[in-house]
Amino acid sequence: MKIKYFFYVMLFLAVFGDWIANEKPFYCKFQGKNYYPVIESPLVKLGWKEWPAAFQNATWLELDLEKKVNTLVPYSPETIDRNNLGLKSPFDKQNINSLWERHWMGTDRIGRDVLSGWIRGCRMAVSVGFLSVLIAGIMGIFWGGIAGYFGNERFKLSLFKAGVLLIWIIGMFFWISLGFETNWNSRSVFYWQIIWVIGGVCTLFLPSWGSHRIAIPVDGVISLVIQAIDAIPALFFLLALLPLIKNPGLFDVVILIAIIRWTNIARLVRAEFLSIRDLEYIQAAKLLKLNHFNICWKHILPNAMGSLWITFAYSFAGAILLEAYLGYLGIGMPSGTISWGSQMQQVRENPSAWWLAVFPGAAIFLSLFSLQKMGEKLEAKSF
Amino acid sequence: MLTYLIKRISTLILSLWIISICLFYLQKNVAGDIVMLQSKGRSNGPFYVHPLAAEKVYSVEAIRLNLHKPLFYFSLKSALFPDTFYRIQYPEAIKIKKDLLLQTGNWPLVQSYFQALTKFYEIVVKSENSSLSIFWRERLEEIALSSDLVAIKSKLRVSKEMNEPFEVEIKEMNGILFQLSKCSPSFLSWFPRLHIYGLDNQYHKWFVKIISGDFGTSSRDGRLVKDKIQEAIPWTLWVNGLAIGIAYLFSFPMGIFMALIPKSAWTKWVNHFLLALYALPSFWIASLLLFQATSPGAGFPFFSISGWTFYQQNGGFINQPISFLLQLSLPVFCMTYGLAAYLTGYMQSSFLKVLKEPYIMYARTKGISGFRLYVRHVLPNALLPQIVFIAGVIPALVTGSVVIEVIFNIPGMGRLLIDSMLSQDWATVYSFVLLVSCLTALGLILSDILLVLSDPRIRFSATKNEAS
Repeated sequence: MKIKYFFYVMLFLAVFGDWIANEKPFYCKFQGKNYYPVIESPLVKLGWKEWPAAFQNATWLELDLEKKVNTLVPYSPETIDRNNLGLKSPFDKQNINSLWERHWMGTDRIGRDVLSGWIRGCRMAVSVGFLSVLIAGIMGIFWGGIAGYFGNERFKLSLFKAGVLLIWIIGMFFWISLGFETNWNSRSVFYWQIIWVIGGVCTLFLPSWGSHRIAIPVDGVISLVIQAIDAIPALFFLLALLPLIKNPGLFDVVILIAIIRWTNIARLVRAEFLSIRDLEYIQAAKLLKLNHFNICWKHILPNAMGSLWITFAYSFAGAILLEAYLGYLGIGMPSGTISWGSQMQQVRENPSAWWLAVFPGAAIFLSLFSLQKMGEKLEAKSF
Repeated sequence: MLTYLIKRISTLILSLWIISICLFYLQKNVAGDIVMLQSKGRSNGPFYVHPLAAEKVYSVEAIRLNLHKPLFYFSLKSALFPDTFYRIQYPEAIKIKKDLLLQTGNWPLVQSYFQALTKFYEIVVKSENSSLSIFWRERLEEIALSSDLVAIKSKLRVSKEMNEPFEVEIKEMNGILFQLSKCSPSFLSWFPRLHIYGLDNQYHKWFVKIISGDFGTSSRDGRLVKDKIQEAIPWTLWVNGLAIGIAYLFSFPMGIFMALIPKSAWTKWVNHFLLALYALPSFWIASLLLFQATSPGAGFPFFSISGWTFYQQNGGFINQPISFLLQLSLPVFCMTYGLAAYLTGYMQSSFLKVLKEPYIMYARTKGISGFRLYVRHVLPNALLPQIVFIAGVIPALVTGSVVIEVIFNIPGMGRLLIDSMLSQDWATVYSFVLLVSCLTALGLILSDILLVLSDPRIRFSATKNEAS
């Protein structure tokens, strides 16, 4: 069996997790009417449909349904099974009615099903990994591309325009921060911001006074920022930035991981752009008067993409590991969040509950391994 | 070559400086109210009192902590703000005064409003009629915490018997409020103005202190951060040093061996296994080992989870070297296997890469073979990329074992970091992060120098780059 299939399984569980592990049944008959709760519940959440009142007052386990077809795992990650409180091991005698309701991976201290949480963990890992790689990829390709394409010499401006640009950037920072300070409800600040933007656009069309053109060291500045971010180890950076956010959620963690990870991608993109920008076909494209954006987007980037996929795979793995660390240390995510890391965290309080360590840990291992294997395959293919 | 190095080092120092600014601002924004935190333990700190009285007590404490100085060398603020706005310390006062200023744009008038308010409060406190005094105290608190001019005005409008004793003050306040309500900031006054404060600012003071090795005191237990770090660092150095050392000792011969034996199904499986080892998360293995160590009946005879204090008090390695190393063996093992697997794979691939080079072919055709070929021609070139790792090894000596330390309860740097984070001891956290980034920069400089010294090609291209 190939290890990369685990990654596909993980993707599948991330998307269809709710259809596999859910306390709501797939189909049920209640007071003579048919319901499909798993499929209908998103509609209810959106407000397009309503449950009968009896559904809202009781939990799904207690409801007296005439007929029902459960999902494969009849528990949601948050469901508390009061009959199986306090760390039931997978091999323990469990207080259940049928084999269908068995907790195949045991329960945790407050009676939540571990298997169901494990499936939710897939979603957490995939969404953190995917979103952070997406954001880091956009940031890395943008900044790394600019640094590599222009370098230190090729972005030239007249002295006047360079000065205007500098003042404009500082001013924009100022106006935006003032906007936050006034809660965006001061009319004159809004007018100033519009004046600033329009003025900035207008200067683009100004004639460049003075024949002296200076090269803006774009590469130098971006490399400096990359160097500064790289000087702090990833976990430390994350821990140093997290307290800045009052009640961090999933998306905040994703953004922070992206802020840490984009430098890796940017460095690679910069190196690729540096080596590709002087190739003959790029010079041909320049002779055809294509603009810079088209050259970068349509001619350089597709050529650089081959080695980028490798970094994406490794970054995905790194993001999953960082998220697991955070969950394990109990920092960053809201306290109710269920992920592989937070499941493993419970082992620290109950060291005898091996099933809380083994299953999520194995999932982290397999996901990292499969991603690394995929990265290695891609590497072998491209070189 | 020298200019290349100087250029590198200066950019590194520049990036360190940027990091220090970022960390300073993070500390300022994250820390919460330092005055409140610092005075929590002491009896004469500002407890919750009337906001108009608290400001005075608060600013005394703030001046003691050097918070009355500007934050940075300069600031860019709207011309609305006076250049001494930073002197206001009390958070409530800052909020209300800023709100009023943004509404009216007239700083002298806002100031005189607050002077009148404070004067009013002092007279209220001194008055003998207790029910009147209590009523006005509450009213003034509401007024002092509000920045809505209309609401303030309506709050000043009270029944006649309550009004009478303080008629003069209320009239004065109403006059100022009337003037304030007519003011509004002019369009031009929003334009930024640069204030230059010079060296006498908080960042400069903090930076000079850090440079001279004074990291401040921990807000958790009042101890010097420096002492705490000094106490924790030997443990971390032991764990990481042993792990990195063993990993290198294992991976070099192993990697070379793997590169030299002929390729077969067996080597493929070993490589597969090495990749799996590298992907195996160390904190998982650590918690499984810990489960084994703490479960009754099983357990490791040489390891005890609470054994660290024993070695801390009894001298550790010097007195009981063998049992000390055995105690360290579990965490060190958890940290070693992944690194060793990675380095083995790396060493193997770089060795193989060098073996394919034309100059090795040339050496072979000249008749050099066997041991001499590998030691003289292959090994130095295969080791060259390893120099880059030196940049990573130096910070890793201090930071590599955060999660492992937390799991095994080792009183090292990682646990210090996590504990300080959880107890909101930001002085420790951020000085630690700064320390680590300095170490990283040091590692980068060192690896750069070594690379330039050891590889003539890099030396040449560095010189060539300068010329172009």
